[in-house]
Amino acid sequence: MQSTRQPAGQQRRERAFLKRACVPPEKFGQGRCEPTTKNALVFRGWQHMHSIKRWTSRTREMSGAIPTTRRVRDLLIQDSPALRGLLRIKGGYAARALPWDGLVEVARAAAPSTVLIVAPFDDPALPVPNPRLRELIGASGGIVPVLALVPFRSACTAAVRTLLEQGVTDIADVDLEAVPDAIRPRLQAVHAQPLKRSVEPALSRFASVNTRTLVRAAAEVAVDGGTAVDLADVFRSTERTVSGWCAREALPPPRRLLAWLRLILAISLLESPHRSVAKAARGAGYSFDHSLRRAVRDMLGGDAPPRERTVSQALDAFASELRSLREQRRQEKRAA
Amino acid sequence: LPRSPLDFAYRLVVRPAGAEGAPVLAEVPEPYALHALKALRLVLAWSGEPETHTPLLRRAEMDRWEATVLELPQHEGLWEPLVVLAGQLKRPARARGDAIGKGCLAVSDWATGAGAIETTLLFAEAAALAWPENARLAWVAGRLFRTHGRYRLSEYWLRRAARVAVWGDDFETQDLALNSLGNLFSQQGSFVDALNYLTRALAVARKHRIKGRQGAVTHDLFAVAVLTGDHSRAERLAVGAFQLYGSRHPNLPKLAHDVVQLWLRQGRFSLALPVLRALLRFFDVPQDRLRVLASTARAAGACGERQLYERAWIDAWAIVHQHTPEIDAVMPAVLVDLGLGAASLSDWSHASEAFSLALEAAEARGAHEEAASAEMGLEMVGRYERVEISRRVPRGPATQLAEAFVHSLEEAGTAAGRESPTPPP
Repeated sequence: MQSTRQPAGQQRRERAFLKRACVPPEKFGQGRCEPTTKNALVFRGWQHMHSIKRWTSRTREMSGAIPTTRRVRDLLIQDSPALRGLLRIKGGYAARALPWDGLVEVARAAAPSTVLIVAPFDDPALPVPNPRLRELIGASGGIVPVLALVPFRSACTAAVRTLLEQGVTDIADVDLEAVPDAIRPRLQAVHAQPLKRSVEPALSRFASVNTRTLVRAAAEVAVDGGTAVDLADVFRSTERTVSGWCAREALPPPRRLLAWLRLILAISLLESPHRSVAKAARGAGYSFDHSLRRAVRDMLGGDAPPRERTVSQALDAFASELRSLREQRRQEKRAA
Repeated sequence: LPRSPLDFAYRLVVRPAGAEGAPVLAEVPEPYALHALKALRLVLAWSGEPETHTPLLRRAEMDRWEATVLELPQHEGLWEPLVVLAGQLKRPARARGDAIGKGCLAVSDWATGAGAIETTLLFAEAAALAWPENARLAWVAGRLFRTHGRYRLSEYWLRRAARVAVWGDDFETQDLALNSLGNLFSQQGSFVDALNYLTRALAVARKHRIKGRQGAVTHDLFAVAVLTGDHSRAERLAVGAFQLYGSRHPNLPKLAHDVVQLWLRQGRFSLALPVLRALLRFFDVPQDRLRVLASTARAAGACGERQLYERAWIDAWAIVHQHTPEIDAVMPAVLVDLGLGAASLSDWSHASEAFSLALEAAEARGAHEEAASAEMGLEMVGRYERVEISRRVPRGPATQLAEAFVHSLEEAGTAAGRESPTPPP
């Protein structure tokens, strides 16, 4: 049988090489470290690594200006003179104007990261919402956020309350916020709102604010089809750090947490009869429909196809995993 | 702020579910509702971008909004802070966090008076976010959340207050935040955590020689010791708190009342009664006065002081019929005390009436401990059995403390020109 141990000489050579590799690039050619062929190779490696680092930090700097992930979010804007200014929006958003009919049609199959923007009062002096608004809210299936731009005048208060009760995700001031720069905070605020709203009841009432923040951030990333790295980017941190936070808050690791939210999102999308399994899978960030089927089987158990699953089943399974993790964490604490 | 991405992400980086500030629309009266909502959202947007203070808003529109707010009918307590906020936010780059924070706190203050709970909490949070270096504002938000039963958010804001206070060398707020965290956990029955935080608060107060805080934290430690059943430690802590407060501290009546409750639990009625007599003049708020009167009736009954018992009963019964939410909240415990006092003097009809009402009130509020006491009282009344008898108390630290309380309270009462207590029969 051949021994796996390396001879002492080879070990020494490798250790010396590793030591040289740890020398920062600016120190090359100084002192005892001569620019040999091997050193030159290591130097090139360092240069490459530094260029990646620089690129990453530049992307992070920009992430304040663009949404979490590099994916572009769609803005479907009602074709109205009050909202035309929003069509100039750039930096992570792609806007297009549609009449009410087109808006309702597209909303049926829109991705969950899309935002539907409407000005529901045809006559600002008469705060009565357009009757097509209800149809639009129904077509969005409660999973695509609807943002209504209304005049913030005293006469409109009752109508605004009614809009929120009818299912509009959020409201904004049409006089002040109907320009690209001003609307950005509101767009960030409505992003992933429907998913957050459906997941929140699954969390225990004893869940800390940090637990909720992590789940909300994961919902935002899942809606964009992002990964654990994107989740870390929300906090300008690393995946490893976020993993540590998840463990501390008795949450599943970031990848698992995102997998749960993707699954809940996909099943929510499937509740609309206009979406096929393949479309819902793609909308929730799965590459293929069979990836969604496998995820449903693995995480919810049983052989029933995704279309037959309900959001409440998925939320129950998620809540049950959180409960068991919490119990495990409690036992670990007690043992410590 | 200190680097802690998760602890500082709430609300601004990662937003909670629901339309931002929507409850304001339901609580703030017309024509202020939408303006208050707009102000809140602009404050949050301003606070979310500490370097650039975007959003980039149209100047003309912001000027128009300020003019509209100025023209609103003047609603005392709400109009003024909204004008200040509109004035600050119309030029976001020149706005000052402290002015915005104070404006938000003023709206929160108005909302507290108007019973608009969600508005109170939202503007308190906005104040703490707009002036993030001010630990005191985070502490205020934490206290408000605790008062309204939002324990998780209260914990978050109190932890943040403690953290920001360390960062800004504001030791008094650090101590306040740790103390409040201790009380929060004690309120939830998590006594290990409560003791941990209160001990830390005491250490901070000692280290920075904040004597008033030392007394307050020792007082809270006393309350936790009572709740955990460690009565000997509780007594030592009560003596410690009394010494740290000194004889003229405004919290002294509260401490005396808490210590009296311990003695009533232990059946040491003869110790409690003189202190209760001295205490009566310090409590003017109906629900607090009612508690002292009920305790007095109980102790007087157990000590066989019929005249004092009758006077306390009549005064207490007059307050019981007021039926405000605050009085209803203390009703089960108060009625149990009154029933016990009556049963001790064999006043069976009054005792039966008080216990029956106590049982009803306790069941309505889900106060299980009081319901059990009322049921037990009713059983004993049914058997015409005397419920409580005063224990003989040997001279020791407890008697000295009772004497010291009576002496200090009478002195403080005379100095403050309060009415003298009911003369002893």
